[in-house]
Amino acid sequence: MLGKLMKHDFRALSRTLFPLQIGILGGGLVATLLTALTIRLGDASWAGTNGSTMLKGLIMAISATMSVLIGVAIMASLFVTLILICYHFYRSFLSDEGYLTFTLPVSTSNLLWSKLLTGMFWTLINCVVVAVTLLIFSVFGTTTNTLINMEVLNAFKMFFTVLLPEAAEYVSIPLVIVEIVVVAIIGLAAQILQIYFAIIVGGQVAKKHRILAAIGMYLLINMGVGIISSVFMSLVTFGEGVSNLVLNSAQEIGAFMTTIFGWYGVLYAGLGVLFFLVSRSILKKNLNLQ
Amino acid sequence: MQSILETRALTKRYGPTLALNNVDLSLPKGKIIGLLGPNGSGKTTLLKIVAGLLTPTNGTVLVENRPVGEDTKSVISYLPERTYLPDWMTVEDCLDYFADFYADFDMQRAREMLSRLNVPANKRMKQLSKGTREKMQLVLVMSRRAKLYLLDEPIGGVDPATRDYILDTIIGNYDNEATILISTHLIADVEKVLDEFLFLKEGVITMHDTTDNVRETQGKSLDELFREVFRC
Repeated sequence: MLGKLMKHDFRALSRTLFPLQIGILGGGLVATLLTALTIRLGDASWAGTNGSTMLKGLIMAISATMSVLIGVAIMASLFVTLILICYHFYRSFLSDEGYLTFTLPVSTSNLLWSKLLTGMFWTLINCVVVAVTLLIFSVFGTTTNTLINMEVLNAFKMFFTVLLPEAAEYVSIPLVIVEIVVVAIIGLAAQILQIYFAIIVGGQVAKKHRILAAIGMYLLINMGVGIISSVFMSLVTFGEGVSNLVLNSAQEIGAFMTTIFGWYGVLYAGLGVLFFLVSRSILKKNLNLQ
Repeated sequence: MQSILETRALTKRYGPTLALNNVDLSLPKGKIIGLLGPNGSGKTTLLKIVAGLLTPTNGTVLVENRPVGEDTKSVISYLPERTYLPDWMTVEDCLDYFADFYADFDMQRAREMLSRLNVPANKRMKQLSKGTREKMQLVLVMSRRAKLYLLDEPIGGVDPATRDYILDTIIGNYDNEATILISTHLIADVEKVLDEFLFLKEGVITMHDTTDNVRETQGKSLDELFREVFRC
């Protein structure tokens, strides 16, 4: 049943999130062209009349403004994507659509898993689309006289041929990459579950203005998470002997950072499991759909 | 006779309001039963608890001797009193959705009913009138071969001609082993199809009898009895 739930959740989310990703890529291409135009106009030594100089200035101003606005919109899309995912959760669970959701012969765990996995999938897709858009912008939109900005490509090349091999002398690169990916995925899951949990609790405490209640709950829960994280990481770092640890070499610093980062993964996993279990318990034992 | 639905000391409280008060109930298999009562008597609350949308304050609910959960939801076909299908879904999407989740969903029956009720297959829910959306939901619910149908005001929002078709559909399509619990204000319209009825008043079952018995012993129609019992 989880597969079927995911199929329908994916279909529902794709309606809004697929066009959004296309919009990000399209907006990124327009921003790339406008920025390239602005740079070229600024670089060109025009010996025109006063009128043509004014026109050039106007085009540059408009292009630059448009590029900045599109850039802001692209970065804001990360937030918009999350909002749309959460709104889908809210509608499925707390609005009239809940009558459809909660009469399905599926377990509460599967309902939550489906919402979590499809939410994570679309967040990751959005991150990839934004990253690709920024890459296109930096490679094609930031050069004055060539099509491709070789400096950007060289920077990437240097990262892989110089910086990474150098870092490999101090830390295990594959281990660090795996750790970053795993902790990022666990962190994303914990963050989405925290928002879902806030929506569920908001729906329990408020009969009206449930979205506002969910936002309030999220802020409250976030404060709690902040306190738990601080206490946990303090205990962990003292446990690792940070108070009397002398980090003499880069290897020692690398190992210490890798361990601490791993503990963040443990913290996020714990929080994620907690949010999932409490959300499931509320939905199973105290569902009261209006 | 084996019962499809049993409630024991079922109580539901909304703050200070007692919506259901120690309801003990046993409904047999293979009957069409009217759940009748004035507004606010607890009819919708009872149906929602059995469907798994509300948690009772006290008491137990058993459907085929199983507590409300994943298993009972697979044998219950519930029609709420509100439209709940997402606006963006087309009629075809809805059919696909029900076919995916309910093993007892009869696609052919659904298409026949939709065609008979002139519900266009390619339209989105938001493009349909409220009445047509209600018809759509009724088609989805009645196209399942469920063991217990919970129908909350199924004919409230439709015209009299469609009302007759819907009642004929309900009688004509349900399995002899299945039970239909139907909540409505339009008693005169449904009276002819009911085997049994329940009167619910302020969260308490005040009467549970067969419609034949009322006619034979009291010489009244159910509609007349209802007006007498619930006179304001």
